[in-house]
Amino acid sequence: MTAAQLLGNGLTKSFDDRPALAGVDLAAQGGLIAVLGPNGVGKTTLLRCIATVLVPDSGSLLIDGLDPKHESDRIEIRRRLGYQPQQANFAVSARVFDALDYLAVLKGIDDDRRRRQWVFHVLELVGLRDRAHDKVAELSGGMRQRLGLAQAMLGQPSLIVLDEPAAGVDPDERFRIRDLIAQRRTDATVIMSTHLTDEAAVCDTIVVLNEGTVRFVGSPNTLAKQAAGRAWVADQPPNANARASWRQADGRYRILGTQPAPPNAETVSPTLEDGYLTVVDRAA
Amino acid sequence: MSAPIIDPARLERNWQAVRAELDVPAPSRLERFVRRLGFPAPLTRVALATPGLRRAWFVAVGVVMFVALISGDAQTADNIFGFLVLAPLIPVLGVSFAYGIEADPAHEIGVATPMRGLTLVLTRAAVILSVSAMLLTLSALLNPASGMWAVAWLMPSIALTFTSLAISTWLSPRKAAAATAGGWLVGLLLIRGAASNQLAAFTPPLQLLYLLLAVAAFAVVWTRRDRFDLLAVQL
Repeated sequence: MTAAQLLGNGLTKSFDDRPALAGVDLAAQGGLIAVLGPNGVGKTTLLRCIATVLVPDSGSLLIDGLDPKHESDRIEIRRRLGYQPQQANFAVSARVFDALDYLAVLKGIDDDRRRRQWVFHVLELVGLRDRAHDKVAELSGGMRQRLGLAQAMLGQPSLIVLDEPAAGVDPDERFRIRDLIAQRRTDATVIMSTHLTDEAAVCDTIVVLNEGTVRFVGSPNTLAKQAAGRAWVADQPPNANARASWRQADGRYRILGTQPAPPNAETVSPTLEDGYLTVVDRAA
Repeated sequence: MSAPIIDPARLERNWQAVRAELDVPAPSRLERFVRRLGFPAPLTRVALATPGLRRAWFVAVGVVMFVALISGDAQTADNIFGFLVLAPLIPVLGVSFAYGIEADPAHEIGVATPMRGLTLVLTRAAVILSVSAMLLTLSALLNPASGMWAVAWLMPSIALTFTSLAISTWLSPRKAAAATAGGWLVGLLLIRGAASNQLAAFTPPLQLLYLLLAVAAFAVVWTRRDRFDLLAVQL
């Protein structure tokens, strides 16, 4: 299967005259793409547009050359799509198997036997096969997130859209979810939103979104380099130019800021977080 | 060395298929009942998937069946009128609990699937209308006083269901149902005030009007079907 091609140009979307997207350009085919940004900057709106559940007010969006504004194209895109919304809820009274089986029907897997195999296959992938008979209410928060991921993988989609897939789960579950997502980067275009830089670090491409516009597109390394020459370690607390600072375990201060360097500070290699904060600052 | 008699990959695939068949949980009693009526498994699953629907709607069906049955000793048209007022609202209530973000926790996931929103809504509406028709007509027929009035609620119920669906392309399904129910009650009061016959709202000329209303409402639903395919969201 070929990973879906995504092409967005000048996408805008407003709610009650409040712009959520203000001219977003995006191009991707294959790999794992993180949409990174603070809360409330338009990540969910962008992902909803890509998942075809919202229509942009203006701009063009093409997925494999299909335009989701047209009904027939939208249906065709949805055949290739796996989508996990931020609120990927399931009826808590439903059994795990039934919740997925229902969504598999909606995804057009009509043959009973094939559908069962798909449901068990994705449950196996996310490590929930032995919970198939349990009610959704009996699953932990992390398991429910994995269930959300499982339904997004039904039918082997070539475009996977995940809105904060590891939000609110413990580190063990986060690693597990991250690993599951990373496995799909070879045969699908996977786009996920996050506000956590450590989640974005495993992606091939990071798109930094702020105030509805794209502020950066590139690899994690390139994003980290945006803070080159702006990250220091010093013995003294930072001056007013510092963007962020904290005291490390060794008692020294880690400082991120604009030039000039704090007195007696050593320049250090910037992290992804430094790069991200620098890009967001530049935009402000 | 000779090649293995059995292809291991094929064996694994077959084993997985067998395991899947063995592990499938049995459907719920309700689902089994609907399947026995001849509905295919995928359709049954889609129709019965919303949990809110079953609770609220079955309670409402029970109440109206009760109203139909207790009006058996009616000497006047009052009790029959009560049944005819309430019965058409049952499918409206059922449909309002059958789809949308308030009714279905997996609504947003469902919207992003290739199943057309209108197909999903109409499938559920059809199941709700047919089950309502069966249960309520049966209970009304058990009442000797009802006579031909036992089925007089059917056309209004179709008209109101489609009207509610049409309004739900602007408002949420539950607000649409409330607006439809309000309009129905006001309309009935006006007709009852204007006509000498207490059951005038259910006579043939008005039944024709409900048919026209149903057709017009369906035309609106069809024209605005895109609304069922997208997320109604305000940030």
